[in-house]
Amino acid sequence: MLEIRNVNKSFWIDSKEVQILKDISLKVAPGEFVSLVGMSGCGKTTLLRLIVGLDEEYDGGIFLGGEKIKGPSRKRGIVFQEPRLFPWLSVERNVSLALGDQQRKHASGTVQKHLELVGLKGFERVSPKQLSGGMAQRAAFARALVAAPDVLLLDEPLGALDALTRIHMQRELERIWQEEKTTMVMVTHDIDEAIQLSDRVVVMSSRPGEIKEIIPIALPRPRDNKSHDFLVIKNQILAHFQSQAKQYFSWEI
Amino acid sequence: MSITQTANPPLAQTGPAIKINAPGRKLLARWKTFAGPLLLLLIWKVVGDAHIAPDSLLVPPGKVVESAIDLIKTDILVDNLLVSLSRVAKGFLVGSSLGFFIGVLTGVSKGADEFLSPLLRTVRQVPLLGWMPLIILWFGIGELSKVVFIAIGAFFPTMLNTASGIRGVSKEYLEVGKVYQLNKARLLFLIIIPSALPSIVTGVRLSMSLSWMMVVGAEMISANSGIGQMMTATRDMFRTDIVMVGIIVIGIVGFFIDVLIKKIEAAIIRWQMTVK
Repeated sequence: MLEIRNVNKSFWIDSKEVQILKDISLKVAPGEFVSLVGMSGCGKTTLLRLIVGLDEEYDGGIFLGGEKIKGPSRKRGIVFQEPRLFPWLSVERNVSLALGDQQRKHASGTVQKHLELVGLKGFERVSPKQLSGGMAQRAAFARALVAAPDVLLLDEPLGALDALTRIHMQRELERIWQEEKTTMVMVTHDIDEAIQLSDRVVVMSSRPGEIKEIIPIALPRPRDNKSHDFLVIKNQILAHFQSQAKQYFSWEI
Repeated sequence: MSITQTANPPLAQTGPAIKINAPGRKLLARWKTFAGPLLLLLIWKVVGDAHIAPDSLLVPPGKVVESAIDLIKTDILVDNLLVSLSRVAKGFLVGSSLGFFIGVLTGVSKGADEFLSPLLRTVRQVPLLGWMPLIILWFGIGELSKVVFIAIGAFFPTMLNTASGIRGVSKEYLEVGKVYQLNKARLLFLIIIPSALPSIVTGVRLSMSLSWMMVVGAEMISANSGIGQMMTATRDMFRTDIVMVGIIVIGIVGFFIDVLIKKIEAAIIRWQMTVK
């Protein structure tokens, strides 16, 4: 169980305090897929960085399995928007990089298994430069999963891909999630993507980033983004952003 | 080259009788490269033969070639050159490897940077030749003093470029290392150094060319062998021809050292980019 309890986070910009996250509380069940959607600047990426342990300056607490999170750990993997592979290491070594010393000794074959999982069998010795954007991101998924984390954090993992590759990778991500049964928390701009993949969608508002609504998606998988139920949920989510936009441009007399 | 040969076979048969092989044609295509030195040589020849100045000041090129052949025949040139090159090799190796270690240290550790960098920046303000009196006092005028002198010069370019290369490693890469909890050694050898390698290699190249310049300087001040010493000794005897041979050899050797280092640089970058 991943539990976020009353998290508040501020940045100092030009000696002015700007609140980024306000009273964020969220529980994610083991094996659950949760998406965070919101306008840019709503702090969803910041929240992800807090969970992964790259940023430890915040109020409140984040717990994994009842234990307070302190710094990064192999229990929490992350996939960034860019693959962030090292061009001087082969795909295989980029993936095995994520394993601890003990894991590397005992788990020969795990790297191979995870490359197979993401559909990169046969690309072990290849340089990341020779991979397409989609394939590079597959390798990043393998790297994030190889140490068998309890939680996988996804920071717009498909955001930099072209539309067709993106649709394909959404299906792949769903398959990987179903096979690995890892808890996943994904930040995305794409509402369709969020509904397609998630058990629950968390809608966030901007400045300060607050949870506005948590929408459970009870649709059977694989989901059809043209079905009526899908569109109803989509409109429900979109309504949040339209009301926000309206406030900016409406007049009151 | 082979493409033009196969694309226009009739030309080779019906064209002019002069046949130039492929490497020759390549050299000919780069005639501009040779035009400069040849022009300089021509001017020198004309002015030298006109005997405007006494031969001891403006020696004609023919005389220089004669001296050069003489110096080669008697092994004087090669011996001195080898002495100089071995000094360069020693001083460069000591200076640039020390520079690499200190560069890594100050690049990685903020504490080491704060401790060492202001000191080293101050030390660097001393012109390299300014070290010579102290070096002679401490190490005498033997081999060691030359090696130390060259090492001081070779130290800074490698050190500074290594440190700045390491400080320039992208935050994104370092975050990956942090997220996957790489230990210090793996972080250094898998991420930081490979990432900084292009900058490090540039520093090493600068160190190398500086080393070659410094050896000549060191030998001119105090030595009993080496290219620089050969030039100073013959200057005292007004043998301008040998001094000219020295200048030309220094230029040519420096040029080839640079070419060699560039080749090594390219090979290292290729190696860095090949999959391991």
